[in-house]
Formats: sequence, structure tokens, C-alpha cells
Amino acid sequence: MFQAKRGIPSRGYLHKAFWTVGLLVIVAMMVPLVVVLIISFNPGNELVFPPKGISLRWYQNIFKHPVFISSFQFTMALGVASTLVSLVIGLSGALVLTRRKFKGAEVISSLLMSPLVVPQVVIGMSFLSLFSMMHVYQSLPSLFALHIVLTLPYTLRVFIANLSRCPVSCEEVAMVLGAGKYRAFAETTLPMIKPGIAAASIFSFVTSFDNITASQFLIWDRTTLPIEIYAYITKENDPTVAAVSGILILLTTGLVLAMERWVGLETVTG
Amino acid sequence: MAAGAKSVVLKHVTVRYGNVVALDNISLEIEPGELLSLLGPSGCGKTTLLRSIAGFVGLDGGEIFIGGKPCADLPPSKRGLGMVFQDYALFPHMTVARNVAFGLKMRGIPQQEQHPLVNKVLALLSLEGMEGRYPRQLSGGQQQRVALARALVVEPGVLLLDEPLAALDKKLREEMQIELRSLQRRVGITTIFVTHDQEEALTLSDRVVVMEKGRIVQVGAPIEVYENPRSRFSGVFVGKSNFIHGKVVSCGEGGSICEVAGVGPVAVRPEVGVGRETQFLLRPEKVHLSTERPPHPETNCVYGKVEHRVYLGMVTEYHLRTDRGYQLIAAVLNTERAAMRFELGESVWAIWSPDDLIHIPRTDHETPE
Repeated sequence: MFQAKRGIPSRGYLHKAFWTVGLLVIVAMMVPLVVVLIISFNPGNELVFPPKGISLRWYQNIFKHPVFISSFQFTMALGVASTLVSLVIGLSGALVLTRRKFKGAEVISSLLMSPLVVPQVVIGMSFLSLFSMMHVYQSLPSLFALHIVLTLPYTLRVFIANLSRCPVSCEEVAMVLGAGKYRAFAETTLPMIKPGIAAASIFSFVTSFDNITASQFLIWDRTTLPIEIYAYITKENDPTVAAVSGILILLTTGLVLAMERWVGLETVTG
Repeated sequence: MAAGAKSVVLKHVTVRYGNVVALDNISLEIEPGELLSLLGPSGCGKTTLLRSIAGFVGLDGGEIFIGGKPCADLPPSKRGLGMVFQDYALFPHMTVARNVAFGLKMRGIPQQEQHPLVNKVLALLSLEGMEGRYPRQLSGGQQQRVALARALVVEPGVLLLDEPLAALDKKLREEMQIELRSLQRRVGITTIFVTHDQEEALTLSDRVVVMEKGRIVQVGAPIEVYENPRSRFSGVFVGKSNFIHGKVVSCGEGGSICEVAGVGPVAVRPEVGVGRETQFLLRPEKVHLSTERPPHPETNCVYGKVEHRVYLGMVTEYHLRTDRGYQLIAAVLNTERAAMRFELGESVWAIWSPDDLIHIPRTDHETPE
């Protein structure tokens, strides 16, 4: 990570300043995560740093609050389901937008991207009004719909970028060589956009998993984990939430490493 | 069936994109084992024609027969073709061996039978030892060969090549042209080759199809297309040309005399009616330069000053201008090492035979200079 690119000569102060700023940014990104992890092993019942010992009691405490477990399961299910749907819609949309030149393609693309720029409070409010009008007062269907809309810009963006680098001629050659339309797609384009599928899945899942702003408008019968954590911390002041965060950090790291094994991390982020 | 022994037959093929006619009533018959090139500038419809033979472009009119079979309802996968694209379209996630075996796999040929076929075609294209490499690990020329191997391994009835050499540098391109031609002869496969490079078309083809604005302008052997262009467009597109416009002033045994602005009277071969406006094409290498006036009164000549000189190695092009403003290009073979034969600003006689003037009938759709 810190290996200097060959061919770029060091330029004295400027070079040092560049590396110092870069290092600071990386430290600033890592510090909060490390602090939370350390706090989660605090034996006392206060969120203090540095901790006065090491204990797993707050990890055990999670299990005394079944609401963490159930909201975790709900959030996971929601994230996986909305990611799957978002992948399918995003891929189909990107295929149409990159391969068919038609009037209004730009408009449709901008519309699908709009959740990135419309304030989430507005999106949450409008979903609330919409589902109230339809007399749907359940978290699952309304959050499912919301999270598909919120994750779509990410999947669509990633697939458009991937597909535009992936020539249609590969599919055409496959067809000339005897593959049907769908077989040709499955044999050529699909494997070529594998890194894109991985990237889109990560972005989409994480976006769904930790959304609070828009999601809190649609909490009827079930709550998501981030909202539960936030609610807990406004009432209690013990490191249980730090322990929950610790588990999430480990899970995320695991997810990223798994992707690294599968497709290579540089192709996911690049 | 009329399409009997021909390899590919096109009958009145028409393709429209909205209001634009991409292919306008194209009829063409391609012999088995022939290498036919479709030549024209971008937008002339040559790629559309190739893609409609492949089955990627639906026809708005006409019919296509491949190996005697009508193709209207056949998808690309059922036409028994091989195709190489300009970007090669190698599958980046597969090794050379798997790329080449792809067509065999799609045909349901078991793996152990694929192996010898793949090896045979790799040997044919001098790609032994490359089986385990990925496309990104190959040079441009090697990628090109893999693309050809992948197309040939299924023993297609017709090979379609869409500007397959355009991405290579000049030297390699010329080598590949010769290699491609000898390979095509050895395999004996009917080949349709799209190119915008007239030299490439002349080098490779049995016949050249010159296309313009969705129409076929001329079909013929390279020498025919070059020495006997039937329209101004084929004359200009294939090779370099001088144009001589004039009015026929007299007509007699074995030829006519034209009065050409900037030149004077010019003897021409065909007997064209007196008073008619005509145009002739003259290839630069048919024009001889001399410091002395030719003794024969029958040969045409004009006196002009060397305005530009373009040294091209094997030949030098002299751009002459007459006193009365007519411009003419003459190409002179550099047979002597010492120096070019004429100097800038030097006045010389340009001499050519009436036999070398190619009569180009004026057609309605062509735009005069």
C-alpha cells in the first residue's frame, strides 16, 4: 500500500507533504474503528478509552438483548434481498442503457441515479406518505422497496461502467460460433463483468445495511440494526453497542477479504 | 435452386435504418473458395453487408443464401460461419486453448475430441505453445491469429473478416496480408473481407467489391478495378488519379479529339459523339515526363512546371501545373540512386498514350469537382 510507484521521482518537500497527508487520511479513517474495537473489550460499564482491562462481557450482553439479534437478522435479510433485486434490475437497466441507443436514455439514467442527490429525508418522507396511502403499515415491504431504490444507483453505475468496457463483439463472436443469445451472454459478458458484480453487491449491501436516515420513516413492526443501535445509545451508556460494532467490523472485513479471494480487490474498487 | 453451387448469394438485399438506406438493392454471388473484399469509405455499408450475412442485421428486403440455403430465419449461431472482428473479440477470461475450443464446445463436441482439432488449427497458425496463455499476454499479431484459429477450427462454410488487420502497424499488417492470403488458399475457404484500405483489397482479393452509399459501384478482379474503374468514385477510391474533362471536337477512325481546358486538344480512344462533354481518368504512373517534346504526334503531351515533388521511396510524384492552370500528377519510378530526375520549378513535358485514358461515363448521382 505504501510502495511508491516506480518512475515517479521523489520531489523533496512536495513529495513528503503528499505522503504525510495521505498517511493522515488513512490514520483518520482507521482510528475510530480501532477505538471502537478496543472500547468493546472494556470491563467497566462506561464508554471510556483507554479501557481499564479486557473482558467479553459486552459481547455476552448482546445476547441479553434479543432485539439486537432479531434486528441483525432482519437487516441482513433486507440487505441480501434488496441487493439481489437491485443487481438484476441494475444489470438489465445497464444493458439497455449501454447497448441500445434511444432517445431519453440519458433522462432514464439520471432518474435512476437521483436517489444519490435527493436528500434521504425527502425520500423517506415520500415513501412514508406513499405506503400510508396504500395502507401498508409493515416494515418489510416498505423497507424492501426503499432499499431497492436506494441501492439501484450503485449497481447501475457499476454495471454501466463495466459493460461499456466490455465489447459486444465478444457476444457476437460467441453467437457466430454457435451459441444462442442467452448462452453467448452467459459465456462471455457475464464472466467479464464478474468484478462488477462483486463491487455492485458490496456497495449495494452496505448501502442497504447501514441506512438510517430514510429507513427510520418506515419502522412499523420491525427495526433495522443501525436504528436499534442508535436507539440503544440514546438510552444506555454502556459498551454493548461497541461490541455490536466490533462484530460488524469483523463481518465487513470478512466480506471484503472474501471478495478479494474471489475476484481480486483492485478490480472491485478500481 | 438458382443459388446452387455458389457459396453465398445475395439477392436485392436492402437494409434501412430509419430513413437512411444502409444497403440499397445489393445483389452479389460469391464463388466457393473465393476471397472477396468489400471496399469503401466508412459509412458505405460494407460492414452492414457483412453483418447482415452474419445475421446480426435484419433485412428490409431481398434474400441471402449461404451454401444454397435461405438464411432469413436462421440466427447467427445456425449459419455455419466463422468471423473475425477488428478488435478480435477474444474472450479475456479464457486461455488461448479455450478460446479456440469455444465453437467446438458450442457444437457439443466432447472434450477429448476437441483437443486434436484445437492443436491442429494452432499449428496451422503457428501458435504452438500458446495454449495456456491469456489474450492479454499476446502481441497484436498473435491475438489476430488466435481470432482466426477460433473462427477456422469449426470449419465454417464462409469466413467473415471485419477489418481484421486495421489495428496492426503497417509492417505487421503487410506480413499478415500475405499470411492470410496463403492460409486462405491452403484451407480453401470462401472469405468475405471488409476493408477501407484499397491497397489491402488489391493485395488480398480475388475480386473487389467497391461500395458507395449503400450501393455496389463496381465488382471485379483487382486489376480490373484499378485499370478500368467504371465510375469516378471507384477511380478516386482505388489508387490515385488525374481527371481530364473535355468537349469532343472531332470524331474519326479509332478515336476522337477532345478540347481540354488548360491542356488543349487531347487524343482519346473511344469514339464519342461530337459536342459531348466527357471525362477521362489517367493514372499517374501512366504519365511519362521528359524534357523533350515527344516526336510522335499521336501521343498526348502537355508542358508544365514542377510545382511539388513527393518522394515516396520507390516512386516520386511530380505535381505539374500548365500555364493555363491545369494540374497533373505523374509518378516516376526511381530507377537511379543518385537523384530525382526533375527539379522543383523545372518545366517538363508530360506525355501519355490515348490508350491509357479511361473513359468514365458520367452518372446522375456523382458530384462533379
